[in-house]
Amino acid sequence: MRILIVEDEPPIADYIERCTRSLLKEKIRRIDVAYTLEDARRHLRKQAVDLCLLDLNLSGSDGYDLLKQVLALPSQSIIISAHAEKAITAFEYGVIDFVPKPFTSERLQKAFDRYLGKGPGSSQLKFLAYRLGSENRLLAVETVAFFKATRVFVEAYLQDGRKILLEKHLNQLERILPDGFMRIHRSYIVNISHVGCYRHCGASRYRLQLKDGTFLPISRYRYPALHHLLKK
Amino acid sequence: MKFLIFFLSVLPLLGATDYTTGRNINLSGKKILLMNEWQIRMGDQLEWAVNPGEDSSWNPVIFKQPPPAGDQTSAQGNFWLQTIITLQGKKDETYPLMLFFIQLPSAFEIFWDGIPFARNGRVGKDSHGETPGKIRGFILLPIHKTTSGPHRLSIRVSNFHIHKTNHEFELLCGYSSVLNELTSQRKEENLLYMGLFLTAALFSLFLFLGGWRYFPAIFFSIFTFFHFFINFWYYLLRSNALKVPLYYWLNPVFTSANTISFLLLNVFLLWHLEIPRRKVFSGILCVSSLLHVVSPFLFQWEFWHLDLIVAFVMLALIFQQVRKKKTGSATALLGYSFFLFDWLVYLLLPLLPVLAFLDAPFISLLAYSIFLVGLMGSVTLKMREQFRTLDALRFRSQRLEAELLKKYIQPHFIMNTLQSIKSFLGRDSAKAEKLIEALAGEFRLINRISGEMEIPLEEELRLCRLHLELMGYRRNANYQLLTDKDCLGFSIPPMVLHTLIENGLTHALKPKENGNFRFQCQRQGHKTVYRLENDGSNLAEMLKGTSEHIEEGMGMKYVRARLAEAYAGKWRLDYGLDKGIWFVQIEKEDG
Repeated sequence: MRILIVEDEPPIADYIERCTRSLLKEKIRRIDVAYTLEDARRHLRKQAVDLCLLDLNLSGSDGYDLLKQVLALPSQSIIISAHAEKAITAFEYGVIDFVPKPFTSERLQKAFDRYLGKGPGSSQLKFLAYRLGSENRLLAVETVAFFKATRVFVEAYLQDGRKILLEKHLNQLERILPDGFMRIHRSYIVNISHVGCYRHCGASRYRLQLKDGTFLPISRYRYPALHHLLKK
Repeated sequence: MKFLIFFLSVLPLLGATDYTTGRNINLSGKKILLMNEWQIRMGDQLEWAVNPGEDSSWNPVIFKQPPPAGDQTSAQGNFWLQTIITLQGKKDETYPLMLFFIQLPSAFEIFWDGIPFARNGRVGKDSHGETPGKIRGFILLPIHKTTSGPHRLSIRVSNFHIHKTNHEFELLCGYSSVLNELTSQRKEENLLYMGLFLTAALFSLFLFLGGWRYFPAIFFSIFTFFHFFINFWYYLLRSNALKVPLYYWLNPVFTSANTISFLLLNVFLLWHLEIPRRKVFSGILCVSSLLHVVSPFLFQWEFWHLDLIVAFVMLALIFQQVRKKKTGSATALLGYSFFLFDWLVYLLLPLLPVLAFLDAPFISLLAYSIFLVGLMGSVTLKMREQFRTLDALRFRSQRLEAELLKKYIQPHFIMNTLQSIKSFLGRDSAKAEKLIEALAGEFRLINRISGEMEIPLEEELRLCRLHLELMGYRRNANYQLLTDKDCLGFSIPPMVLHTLIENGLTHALKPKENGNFRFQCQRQGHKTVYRLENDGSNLAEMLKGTSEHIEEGMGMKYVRARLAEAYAGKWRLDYGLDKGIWFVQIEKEDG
């Protein structure tokens, strides 16, 4: 795991680093610390990062900019901040977890568990960040009909027919998407509210038709869960 | 000018009353006779009372009209006046017949059919021998002699005290009841005016002297005080209490007071309604008023024309403010219009006698009342606006205080500090302890000063040092605040330097970078200059070679608000890079 800690107070950055090392141990490939937002931006341009631990003052526009930049990248992020009142906003932007200061190593452990897919996921995501040229933009999750895994990243197919490339992996998305989305296939996550009908096509093959007429495949072992959900 | 004033003072007396001119009076009616056709003979012979001699030795003269060309008579020295008055009809025995004289020269004696019956002052041969009488007064005609038919009225005049070239006198004849009613009515009006103007004067004076300190109110106050005294003067005049020399000595003063009061009224309106270019207009008004005051001595031209122009220009300027929806301008326009209405009636009456009905008793009083109520209403409206602003300011001040507390006791500051303490625990407990002490010290001080408008500079510097110590632990750096020794005795709004230092820590210094803040304060003439500098590299690097404008954050807004609250318009804030050093400079004017 490549981890970036963004924290402007050296003693706290040092403490986060110590906690992280003791919690994640051999999973860590490298840990870097950025004391300023500028350093963080520079680092993100040069290095691939799996997990960002961000101390962001989300009251300022600067903090949001960096958050959008991080979230548009394949990396995941955990916010560690004293601005606890901004937690909901952070979740809406798709962060894995929000750890309010002052924190204990137990609380940090929970956040890492979420990142590793062991803990319960958050279901408050409202926006997904993506890059368009040099600009970081936000996409409202509710406008997406389904996500499809491509060779490297994920494509979001919107209800209005547009298609947007997200620098995320489907597994990462699955962890942060809200309850209205369901993984139906190795390569597909669908917006349940956009489902028209689904059927068994014989030979253990299942298909789902969206309201706009698009057909999507359903994995055999994911069908029961979908069937159960839609029956409710 | 004197003629005008005199004319205007007499005219109201006649405006609303029936009167006739000439030499005949009908005793069965209630009309007043204005006796203006006379004969004059220069010199002084007592026998002229009984035996006036040849008609040719007497020259005709009409009061209040310029003498005909070649007329050698003058209103100076000793002279006699005579006229024939014819009493007609049946006499009303209830009331006696009376003469009412206005501004007959210094001293005179009156003869009815050659018999002396009254005198005013003592007639003399020169200024030493003459004793001046009153300026106005009533004289009862001898009751038994006022029979129907023609009577000769002779007046033996001596005028050594007053310089008069013209016969600007007035003599009225009528029943005592009618004449008394006329004068007492005007006297009552004057009394009411005095009450009205005194109330307005005190109201506006208290507006100025009271907490509000509304300086245009002082102009309005002096204006109304002037009018109070002018009315008092007229009251004395109409009470027939003034002696001739006093009247002629003081009359120019009160005439000038009228002019100056008009100037004050206009200046008040210029400032009260914040009329653009008011200083220029005030200058022009001063010049026109000066011309008005000196004109009777220098020119023959009547300067009331100029006043009329001024009045209409002012009306136009006020109207312009009404269009701009300036607070109080509409009520001021209403008031000023009524002021002019009354004035116009006075000016136009000689030209348009039809307007006499507007000069009926108490109509002008009504106009003046509306004028004063309008202007005071306008001031009140402005006062209400200012009180609202004050309320908003007070509210802002409370909000600032609350913001200040929130800013430094808000959770993220405490949480971050607690996190830092937690980071030190176990590894460097001594540092954790020092951090706790610094935090407690800072909070204690903030709690004490947050409600103050200004605090001693030493207190603020102590707070800054505590904050720098705390932040030094948190950011793993060493911060110093260097100050001049002569910073004693100065004061500053609380948390201003503290906020500027906090800004410096956030933007100018990188984490782990040691930093020096340098604070200087000095007196420069009538102002105090505070300058805070820091040698942080971050901001200097960011701004190097760029002319980029720095967007002000919450901290700077807070500082500006605090300075505005404490020094209301008498401060200045500058900041920028000076030879690679970041500085913030606050200038505060005295007073």
